[in-house]
Amino acid sequence: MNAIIRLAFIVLTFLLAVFSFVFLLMMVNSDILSQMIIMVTYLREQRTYQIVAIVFWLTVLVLCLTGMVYSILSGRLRRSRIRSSDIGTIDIGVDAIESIALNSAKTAQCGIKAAKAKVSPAKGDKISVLLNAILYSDVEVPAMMAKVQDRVKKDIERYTGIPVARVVVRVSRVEPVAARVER
Amino acid sequence: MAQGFVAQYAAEAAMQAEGVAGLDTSSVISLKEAFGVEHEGKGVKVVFREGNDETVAITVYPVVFFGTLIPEVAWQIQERVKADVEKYTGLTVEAVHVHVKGVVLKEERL
Repeated sequence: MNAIIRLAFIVLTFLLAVFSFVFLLMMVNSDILSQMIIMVTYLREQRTYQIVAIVFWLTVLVLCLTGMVYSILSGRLRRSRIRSSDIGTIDIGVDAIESIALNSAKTAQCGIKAAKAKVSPAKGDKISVLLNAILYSDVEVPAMMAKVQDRVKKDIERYTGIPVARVVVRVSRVEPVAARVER
Repeated sequence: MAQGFVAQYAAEAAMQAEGVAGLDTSSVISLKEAFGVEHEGKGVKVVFREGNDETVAITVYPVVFFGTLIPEVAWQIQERVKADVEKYTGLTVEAVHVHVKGVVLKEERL
């Protein structure tokens, strides 16, 4: 499945490149533009060419749509079914896992001001967690983030029972510690 | 037997389980509520088996507290819902599916 979609992407991008090149030429040179218009109208009038062109563009359209759907769906884990007991199935939604990651990162007291978590599937029924964090400026990033990674991994595994392949922490910004106002 | 009626029992039973903060209502139902249509048994989906009015499959969408072991809470929900619905309505519960929708910290109640 993966190889097919890669091939489709390659074909699509190649076609896109060719057509954008042709259109570029048409924009630059009015001669080519008029020639192209004549050629296209000529092709349109021939029955066989018309059918071929319709089929071709339909394929391109379908390819585009599959590529779009695939790239939208592949990034996000939709649901993770952990197990089914004899009564029924138990699903843990992505939002739940993400908010566990967030809560455990925030309660770790490692100077995280705000964070965003994103869960994606990893190899072998595992999940990987990406944590985008904004820190306070008085944090030793490597030591503290190691602690956060450990904590997030342990918490998710304990509370949901889903094995975590890796936890990636990305520190996006550091904010100054707010001046404490004595009252 | 109406779906909403069964759903109410299921919702109540699910809320009784330990560690459940609330039930998540889907956006469709929220929309329905916004238009003033009353919906019974929020966060629960009840499906009767085709051609058999006595057998139901129930899906529960709970939001649990942070710090609870989700599989255990889910099992508890399944057992309670199955037992309660069978006891009060007399229907056969074929399956209770649990789809955990979210996790909240203890302080914020839904």
